[in-house]
Amino acid sequence: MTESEMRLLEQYIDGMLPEGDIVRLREFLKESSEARAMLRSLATVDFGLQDIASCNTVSDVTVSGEGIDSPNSVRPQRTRAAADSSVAGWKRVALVMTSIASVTAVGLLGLLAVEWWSGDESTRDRDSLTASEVRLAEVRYSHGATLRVQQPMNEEHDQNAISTGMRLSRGTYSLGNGFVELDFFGGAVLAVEGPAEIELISQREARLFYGRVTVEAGDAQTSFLLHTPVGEVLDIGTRYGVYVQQDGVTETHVFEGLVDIQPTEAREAARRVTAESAIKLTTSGIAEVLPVSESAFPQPTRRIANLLLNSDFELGTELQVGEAEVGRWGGDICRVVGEHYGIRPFSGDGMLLFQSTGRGSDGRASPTAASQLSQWIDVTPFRSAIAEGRVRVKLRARFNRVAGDEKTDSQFTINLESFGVAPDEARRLLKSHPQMPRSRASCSLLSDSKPESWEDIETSLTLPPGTQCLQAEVLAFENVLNDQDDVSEFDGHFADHLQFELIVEPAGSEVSMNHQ
Amino acid sequence: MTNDDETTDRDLFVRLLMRHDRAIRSYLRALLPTANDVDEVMQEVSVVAWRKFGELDEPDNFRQWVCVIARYEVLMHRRKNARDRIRLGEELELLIADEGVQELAMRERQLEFLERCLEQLPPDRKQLALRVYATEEPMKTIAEQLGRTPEALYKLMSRLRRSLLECVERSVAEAGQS
Repeated sequence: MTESEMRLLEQYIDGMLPEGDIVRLREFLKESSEARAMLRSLATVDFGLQDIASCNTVSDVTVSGEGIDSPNSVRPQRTRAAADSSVAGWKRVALVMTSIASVTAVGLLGLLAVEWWSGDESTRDRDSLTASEVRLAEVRYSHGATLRVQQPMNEEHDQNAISTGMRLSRGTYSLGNGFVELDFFGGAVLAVEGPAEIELISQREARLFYGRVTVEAGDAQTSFLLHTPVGEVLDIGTRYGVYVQQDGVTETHVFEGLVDIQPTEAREAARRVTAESAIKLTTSGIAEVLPVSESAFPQPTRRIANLLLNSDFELGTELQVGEAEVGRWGGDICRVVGEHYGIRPFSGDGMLLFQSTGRGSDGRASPTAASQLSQWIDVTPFRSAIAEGRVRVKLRARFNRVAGDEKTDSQFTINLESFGVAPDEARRLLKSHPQMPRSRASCSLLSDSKPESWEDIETSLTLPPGTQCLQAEVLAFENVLNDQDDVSEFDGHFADHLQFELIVEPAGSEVSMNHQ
Repeated sequence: MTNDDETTDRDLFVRLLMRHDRAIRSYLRALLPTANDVDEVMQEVSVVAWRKFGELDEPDNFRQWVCVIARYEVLMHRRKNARDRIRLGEELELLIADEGVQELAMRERQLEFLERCLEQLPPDRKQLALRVYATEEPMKTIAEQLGRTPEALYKLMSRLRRSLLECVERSVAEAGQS
């Protein structure tokens, strides 16, 4: 096969075949069985890579003599991606290395500064760094944005191009157009939509001269102070939008939680704005109540992690034999146990023990029998973002088992399935005839025989438009020996510390959309 | 059929479908232009396969049986989207599909080896391949983010995929000999 023929096949698989080449491709495929086989081979690799990319085996966590490392001790608290799991350890090594070596590379010093300052305040040696070396925030996402430093504190950033991963130090930045998401190292996330001008003051503080910003502060520990021409906006664990017009008139829209606005004029009393309300303030202190409008502001990435309940399987967690529900685990016979067969929970005081593949009345042996437990998740509150294809979900689980022997089953699987009906309707339909999922992501693990370590897998799924609910499922398969005992078919197979995260991807405001 | 029978059948069906899901989707991928089309057709295939599950006499034949259903559903999908400009034509698509059914076991084996072959790539190449496939962003955007031209990235991905294909083919052949 020639290179140009091979390229035709690749372009077809990639959906990049020029329309004018389709006749040539047809003739080639009709004539050559080798070409048809190659097309199927390329399709296999293409599908396989996509499948692997959606499923990650994350890591092993070793149980030490002192007990199991808590998840937070081995991972950064703000999980960005599975690949970040080694950041904390790397950071420690970098700090030690740089403290004993003479650092001459400015880039490395900058990197050290970021990592150093993103740590605990009490451990910082502020005198060792100048303000220009301290990075305050990282560009996590940008769309059509150009950024210019108005008062350059560091030549590195005196440029128009902006890219994901760029770290910004103190200074005033002017955003011409587009949209950027800034991940402040103090914990807040700001979505800034151009045209805007903003000064980054510290890891927890900024000044908006004009433009539209949405602040996602998370919780009280990551509160953020935003200066505006009319006063200071201090959040109290919340999400809010601020729009500063060129004349300084400022709108504050609170979507969740509440904020306090301390007017610049000392004689004015502080104003508290609660969730789902908005206020417009002029520089002379005249206030006007407005209807809240979330769509008028850029939407930063949102990460919601509390939708899967009892996912750590602590002692006392109820498991239903039979149907799962929203917020309740259900499925085959499983139990929540403490330390069992010498295996200790990955975290907390409990873990899930898989026991049986059947529900008690299964007299038929299945070639792929599995013990499965699932829980439904209602995603209707995110329907508008789902309709725009901006919602991804991730499921991560830890597994362990007894060492056993060559007959010990080894396969664990996690599934995420999306459905286009409400959870109750999906459950009803599943009872009568399977309503097949709109989409599914799955990840399997052939576990090792090392009970001293937990293994970790993750899968993710972009929710198709129309999705109303999800089923998160965890399974242990009888992939080696399909026992017929319907009470205890597994030798000691465990799951623990499931983590479900729903991620709403960022988007510009309706205002910006209307101008495009 | 009692409720218990139906529950048992449903569980068996779902488990068989999960077991062969990757091979079936890989089979569909050669017949459809995008991964989204694969998802859409797979949903129809699942529904039809469940409706006809009683007609399957032997679970061991499940994979091949579903692919026959899939072949028909691909044609229906293609007819529904008849305006697609890049089409091979029904006759050719059926030929590719029928030959593909004969290769299902081999393709399943290739998919099993793919992850191992991916591990043999240099770490930066492996990360690049996963990055390109993990996102729905167009190649052009990813190329910009990586500071490469789209053409350079496309060529690199082409080399990576060919190298992975050689590796899985070699691995399956070696496994067959041992």
